[in-house]
Amino acid sequence: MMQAIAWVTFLEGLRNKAVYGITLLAGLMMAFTVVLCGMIMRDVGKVATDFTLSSATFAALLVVLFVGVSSIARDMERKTLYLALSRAVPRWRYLLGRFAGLALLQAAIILLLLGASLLTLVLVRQLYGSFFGSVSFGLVCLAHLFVLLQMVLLTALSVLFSLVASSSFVTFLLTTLSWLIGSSTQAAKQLVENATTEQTAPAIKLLVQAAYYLFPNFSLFDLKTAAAYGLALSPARLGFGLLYGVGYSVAALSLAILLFNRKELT
Amino acid sequence: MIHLDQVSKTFQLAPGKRVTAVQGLSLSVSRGEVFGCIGPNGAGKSTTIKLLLDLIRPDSGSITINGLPTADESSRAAVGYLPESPYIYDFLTAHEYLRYAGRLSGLPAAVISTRSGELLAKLKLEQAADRRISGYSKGMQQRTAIAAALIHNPDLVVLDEPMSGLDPLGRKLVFDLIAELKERGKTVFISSHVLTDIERLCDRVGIIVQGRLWHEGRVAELTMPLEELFLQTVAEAGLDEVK
Repeated sequence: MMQAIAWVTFLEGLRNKAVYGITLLAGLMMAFTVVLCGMIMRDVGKVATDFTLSSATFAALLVVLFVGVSSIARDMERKTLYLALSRAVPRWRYLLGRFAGLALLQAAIILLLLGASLLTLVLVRQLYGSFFGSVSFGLVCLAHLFVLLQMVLLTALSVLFSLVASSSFVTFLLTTLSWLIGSSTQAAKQLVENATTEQTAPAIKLLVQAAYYLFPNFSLFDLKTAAAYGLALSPARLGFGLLYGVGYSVAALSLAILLFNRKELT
Repeated sequence: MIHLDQVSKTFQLAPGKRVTAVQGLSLSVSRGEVFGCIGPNGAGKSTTIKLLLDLIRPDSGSITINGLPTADESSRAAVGYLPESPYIYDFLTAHEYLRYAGRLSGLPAAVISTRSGELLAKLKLEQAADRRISGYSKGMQQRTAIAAALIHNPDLVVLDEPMSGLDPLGRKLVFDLIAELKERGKTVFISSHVLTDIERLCDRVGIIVQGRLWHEGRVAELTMPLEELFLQTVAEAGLDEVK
């Protein structure tokens, strides 16, 4: 029954016109990369890697915000979840099924965008080989995997927020806020910890540190620089990122299940 | 099959504003019985159904289906539910929606295929079965939802306003379907405003007004038309609109 729920969720995403628009946008951004590299003619490998990975991340983020965020909220608003919950489907199975469907959708889109990214990089290398540099295609693939992990974590958070928010718009705001804060807390924390008391008020320092520990650190999943320069990444670093993403997602989903089990579906 | 015992439910609408939707409700529906639940708008009929299906939880009292508490999801293994308005994934076709409904109940693909073919034929949806539900009329969506409620051949069928949005042909199709369920010994719980259908289909009827069960009895033993009994009961309950 969970597979059935996941499959319907995946189909819902595939049949959403917004997904095609977003994927097309990402494709166009990658195509533009080839043109941009022709204008720069320097470190084109790094530029192309940065651009393609940023396009993939941006597209995946849009899918979470415009497709994933409304998925469960809309189910509750329109009461389409009544069919599943009026059967012998435990609420946790329904929720995990919806999450699995959204994760599968993200995986399909990122796989497609990985193909587009690799094609773009191959094209750029063909056209501007002498300026390409040492881009690691293996790391580009790994970087896309970590983008997927990042978005799966953000999806888990959006599932949690959809159970506490009063509307899908509030879920959208909370998810966007989590992304913005989570993407900048590492840099902000380093900044405030290195600053003196005259430069940063203790209250601000405390707030930034609290945000760092409360919100997920999305910077951990950013492998753009390593992929662009072909830098070696330690298995420990990768392993930690993987465990962090999975662990945080499990925590968010566990809390979501607890809340959903208690929720009155009026 | 269904047993509600002193069930109460109050909703908090706003700080300091509470509404009692159901109070001290006790009723039983035996296996193979068709029970009609009627009442004015806001009486608590849909709330009673949602309590039965564990979509909401009672503040007090107990509810069981086949002796199992409704908090146990296995109590709903053989339950088919049609909500008050059809809540359907409109990006699916009828075939896909019925496949989904069947898989939720763990039916094998071959059984789903056979059952969906039969139900779509009975509900005159075969021609449209491969079109997206978003292009269906309200009546077609209602009939698709009914098919989804019955795909797994449930022993207990809960229908909340099954005739809603249906034209006369649709009403006849659904009426015949419910009559067939009755003949096959299924237990049916119907909430409806169409009193003539309740009189023709149901074995017993219960009248709920302002969250309480004011009348319960066999349809065959009614001494007046059901509409007259309904209005009389509502007046006894002190509902201002009727007085």
